[in-house]
Amino acid sequence: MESKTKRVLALETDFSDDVMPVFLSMVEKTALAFGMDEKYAMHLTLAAEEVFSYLSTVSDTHDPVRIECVNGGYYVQVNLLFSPRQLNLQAFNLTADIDPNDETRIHDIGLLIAARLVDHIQFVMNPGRNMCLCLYKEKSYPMGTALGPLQNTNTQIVKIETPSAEDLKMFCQRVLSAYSLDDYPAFIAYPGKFVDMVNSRDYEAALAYDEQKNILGGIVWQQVKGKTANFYGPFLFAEILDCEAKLLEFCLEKVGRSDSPGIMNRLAFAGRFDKYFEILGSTRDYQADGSVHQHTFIYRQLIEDLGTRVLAHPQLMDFLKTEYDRLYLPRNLQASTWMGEKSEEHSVFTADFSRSQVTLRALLGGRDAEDNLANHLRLFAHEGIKNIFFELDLGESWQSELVPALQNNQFIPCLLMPYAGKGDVVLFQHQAGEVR
Amino acid sequence: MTADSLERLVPCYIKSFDAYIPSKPDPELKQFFGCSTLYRLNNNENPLGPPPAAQEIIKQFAPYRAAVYPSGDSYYLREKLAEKFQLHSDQILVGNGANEVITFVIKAFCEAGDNIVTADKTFAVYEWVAIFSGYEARLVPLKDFYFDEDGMLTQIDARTKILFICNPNNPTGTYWNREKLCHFLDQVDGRQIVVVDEAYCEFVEKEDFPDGISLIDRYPNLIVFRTFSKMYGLAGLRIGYLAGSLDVVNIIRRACVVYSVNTLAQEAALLALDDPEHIARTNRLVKEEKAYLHRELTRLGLSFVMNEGNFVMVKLPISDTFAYRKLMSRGVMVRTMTGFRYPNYIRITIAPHEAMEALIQGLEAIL
Repeated sequence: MESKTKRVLALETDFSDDVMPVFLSMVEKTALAFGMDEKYAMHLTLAAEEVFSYLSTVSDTHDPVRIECVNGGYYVQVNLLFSPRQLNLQAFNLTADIDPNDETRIHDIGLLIAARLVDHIQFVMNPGRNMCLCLYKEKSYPMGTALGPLQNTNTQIVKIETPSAEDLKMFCQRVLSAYSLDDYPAFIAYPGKFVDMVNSRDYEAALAYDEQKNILGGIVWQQVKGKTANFYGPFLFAEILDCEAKLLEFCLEKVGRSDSPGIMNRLAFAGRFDKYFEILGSTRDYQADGSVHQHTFIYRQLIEDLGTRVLAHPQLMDFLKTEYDRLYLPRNLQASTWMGEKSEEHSVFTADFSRSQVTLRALLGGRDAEDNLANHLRLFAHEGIKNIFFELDLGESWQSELVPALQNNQFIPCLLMPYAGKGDVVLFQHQAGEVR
Repeated sequence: MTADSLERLVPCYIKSFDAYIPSKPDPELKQFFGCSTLYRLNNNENPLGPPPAAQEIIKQFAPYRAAVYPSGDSYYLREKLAEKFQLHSDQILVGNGANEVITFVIKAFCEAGDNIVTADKTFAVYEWVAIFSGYEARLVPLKDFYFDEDGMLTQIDARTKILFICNPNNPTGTYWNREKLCHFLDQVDGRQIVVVDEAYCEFVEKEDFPDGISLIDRYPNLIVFRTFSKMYGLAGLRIGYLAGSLDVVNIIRRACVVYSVNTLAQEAALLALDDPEHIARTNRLVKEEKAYLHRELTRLGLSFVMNEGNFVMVKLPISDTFAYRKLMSRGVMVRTMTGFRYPNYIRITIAPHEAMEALIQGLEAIL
């Protein structure tokens, strides 16, 4: 498998008006050079234009900005690094509804447009350091077609190894034929994209082969520096003794000596992995036809947990205590209460869509959090989305303030994911699906 | 300094390397896990502590001496070791634990583009030092828990500088006998440095176990590591050493940081060497408690890897890290083996009977 480090094209300049055409040309040309098609390159360029234009209005002309175009293999990312300013991040809420006649917020429309032209917008705020605004857009790929079942299943596993690009594509196609849509991550449906994801080293995979080099199964995992890793599978195409265990152990040996504190599977086949994993809990997946599927989350730590302090809202304490005790997680749990300190006016939530579900995360807390959440829920209801989640990061103590807003909007804590963010993450599920 | 400028100063191999986070001190762990006692069975320390004479000199250490630099090259200790092993004192380098001498050797011989070869499931520090110094670590899978001689030899290329063998291996306790080690050294034929880490050699009573230091005359490319942290119970003072041929050690000395070994460690180590009864006493305890563990683990239906050394590896029917947390809540601290690339295994340090009983009771309760 070819391996590449991510290529970066960078420009260091300022927010002068005459820089804009150079910047836009850079984004468009590099997106094309990095393999993005014209339509998506144009979307990315338009998003970049809106963001740069907005930043120009809130910055001094001579404020420095560093612009990076990153080739992630299957995506192109544009990073703008600049000094923190009083940005109105509220405009990045999916529900932002800005009146074009309101001259005080006219520039914010651009941010909203940008948010809808790319797959993700991410802010990285380092106190006392630069702020980074990242525009992330994936390239387009053709959908894979399902391959028929494995012909000769009277075989045995010979080797587990990291596969070639061709084998990866074949693996994806076998998964498409052997598993239902709920059992694999969306990217598996795009074999070419998955090859690029592995090439970019964002994802890794291992396949089990027999003597004839038939693919008997495989496992996929993803590590994000310092955070809990994710894995998918093992996917098996034949009933082979120990194939599942061998794939799992191969994956665990690979991630075992890394900085990932744990590894998790959000699409686990319940009950099959008790020997290796702990069950975190499950979510309910409400289907369009009215049926409900359960997704079980399994997890194991890769390190010896050293213990940490957790500050949480009093309304969440019972849930956390139960989960920490059940999972034997060493946590010094302390209640965090609001004591009149000043808080921001506006909250900002990001929304990640995947198939029929959406996951909200907080970018900023604010006094309008409850209303803001309610607005999001109205939008999702209008779109017919029933599977709505909120990830609350206990490593960001300010997020505990959001608990009443969540509970007042019928979000229920359903499971705890250790070290899945800056700290442990509580996954809330909205009860929308229960309403018939 | 901005995040950007810091980023630009950091070499790629450091950016991609993950820091090792050691465990917290006992009082913190007890608080987090809610246990009143803690049996530390995770670091292969000697529960009997240092030999009595070493204990005595530690007790008598006069505080004013803390203001005075130690011997920069552990002069008397090297003299003593040279006499013990019939070497020249310049054939020995003492470091702040064996971990430091690993660094000396890699720094002395490797440059950009070079590689080292070792096993995938062994003491991790050879691999770590190579990687965070910018060199490739080629990891050869163990074969039935043993270092794979052929596998290691086939990994050698023109840029291979050092081969690391842990003998007996931590955590499997397997070892190469004299014949196998000599055969390997004959195959390498002086083209690379061969390091044999004998951190646990004093725990091995098998007759065919090789004394690496006795082979240095025959194989000038051989370097042997020893430590005072295990059998000699001086882990808290950090002291270890290497021995090799004069020419090789003279090269390593150039990459050696002097004055890194404190006075107390040097003096305690000097006296520790004079107490063969301490070794016998420790080995009696290890033997008795291994027999107990063998019996009890078998009764519990657990498979285990029990070979040389003061440790045993046990395979659990649940995640080792989950077992770690459950055992910690009962005051028993073991080493999880996922980080050693042995998922679901734990490593247990042999300790006095009370601790071994607590472990067995803990396992019975959690499994």
